[in-house]
Amino acid sequence: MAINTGAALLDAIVLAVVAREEHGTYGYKITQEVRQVLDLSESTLYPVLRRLQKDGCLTVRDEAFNGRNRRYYQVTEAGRTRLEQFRVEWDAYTSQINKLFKGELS
Amino acid sequence: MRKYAYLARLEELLAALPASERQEALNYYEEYFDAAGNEQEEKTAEELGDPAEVARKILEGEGIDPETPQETSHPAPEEPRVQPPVTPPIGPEPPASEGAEPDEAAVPPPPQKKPARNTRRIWMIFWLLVILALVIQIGVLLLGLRGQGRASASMEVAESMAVSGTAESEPVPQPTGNLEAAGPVVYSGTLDTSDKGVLYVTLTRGNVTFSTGDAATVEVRNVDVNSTVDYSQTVDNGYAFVCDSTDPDTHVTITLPANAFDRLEVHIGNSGAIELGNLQIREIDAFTASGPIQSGKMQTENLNIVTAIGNIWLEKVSNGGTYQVRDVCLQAPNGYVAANFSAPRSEWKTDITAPEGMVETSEDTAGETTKMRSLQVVAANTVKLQYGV
Repeated sequence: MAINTGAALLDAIVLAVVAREEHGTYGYKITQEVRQVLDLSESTLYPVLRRLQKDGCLTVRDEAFNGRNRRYYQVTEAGRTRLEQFRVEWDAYTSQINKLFKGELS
Repeated sequence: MRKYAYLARLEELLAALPASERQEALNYYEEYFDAAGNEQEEKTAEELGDPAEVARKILEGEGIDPETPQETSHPAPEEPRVQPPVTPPIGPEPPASEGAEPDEAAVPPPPQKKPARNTRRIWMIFWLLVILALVIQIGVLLLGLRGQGRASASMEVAESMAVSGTAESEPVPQPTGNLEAAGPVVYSGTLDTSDKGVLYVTLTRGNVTFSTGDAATVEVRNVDVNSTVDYSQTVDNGYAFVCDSTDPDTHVTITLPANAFDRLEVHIGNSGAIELGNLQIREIDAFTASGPIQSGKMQTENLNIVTAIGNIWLEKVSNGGTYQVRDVCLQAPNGYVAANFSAPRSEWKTDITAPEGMVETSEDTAGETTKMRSLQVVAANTVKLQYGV
């Protein structure tokens, strides 16, 4: 696809995916779910998760799973606010672009 | 590339990160491999892509300019070295090993910063070519061996005698021009395990991979022209395999049935990686002067692993059929140690030197207090140990 997914959009997509799970979800699953909507390399998400964590949008907790560690990511209040802001911006942005493409904008 | 090889490579590439952040990243990718499934290691590694690219993204994300460290550690010339472990048909592979296939020169190195899909497609084609080249080489080689087969077959008949295999074979001794043909197996032989005893494997430079199988065999690739490969009986009922090749791409593959020997001693004098695979041997002693040492699921009683410069990754250490894990000593005075043990934490008497800290996880059930096992660890970087797995 010729349209690039910028860092902000990627952040929002990851937040939206993580926000669907009340008790949090883990790296592998997040990657697979993001890949259902977006064609991106499997290795792209670690830096995104780190960034969101540093920004206070995600919290992590470690849990044992099958004798190994598994890190769960959960959206914080700040993360939900950020996601909501993005949704509003996204609606405004896409509706304008849609109008332009459909020739409704003069 | 298997999980631990991939992680070891990634760790090297993340050297510019502070230890704690490096560990976070390695944990994430280790967990990722685990979540994808143990059977999927090769596939997961492929899907994650080139560790160099993964490392670049992580470094960028942590605000470190990847260009500076990359100049020295990873750029183009290293590329072919890192990747080939994915392709060879022989079992688990040590991290940076297996020399460039002759054909690789003909394939343009894949572009670094293309959209993921393109890159993946190019890599796919690239690997197909490499695999094809390997298959052809092995085919040619097998045909070639038919001719020499007579000689080695008769050696096997006289089995009680040590098989002395100075079989650097015909094509290699030619001084010039023929080096490219040295990619495939230049020596192969059968090991006599009837008396058990000690198997000594001594290399000057190169990588050693152990795998488990029904027959005890050895294969050597990529030796340099003037080297000798020798396998002979020692005075104390042991066997000594010696390869003095100084080519860093020298690769020795040894397949052993379970309990084929009482003791295994691997020694790499100059540099090279050791992959111990899923060995089942009572005593294992592995040393390399420089390079990583890793394993799959090992069953052993006494384990002594030392890498003067490099990391140690052991997927699992557990008891064998007739033996109990007793003494484990892991020394990586300039590197990192990560190991998983089947025995619970409470059974270990530990002596651990880890200036950068330690991560211990355990699935202990309380109650057992017999400290029947001893564990000694020396490392420069973080030590990560897991018990009761």
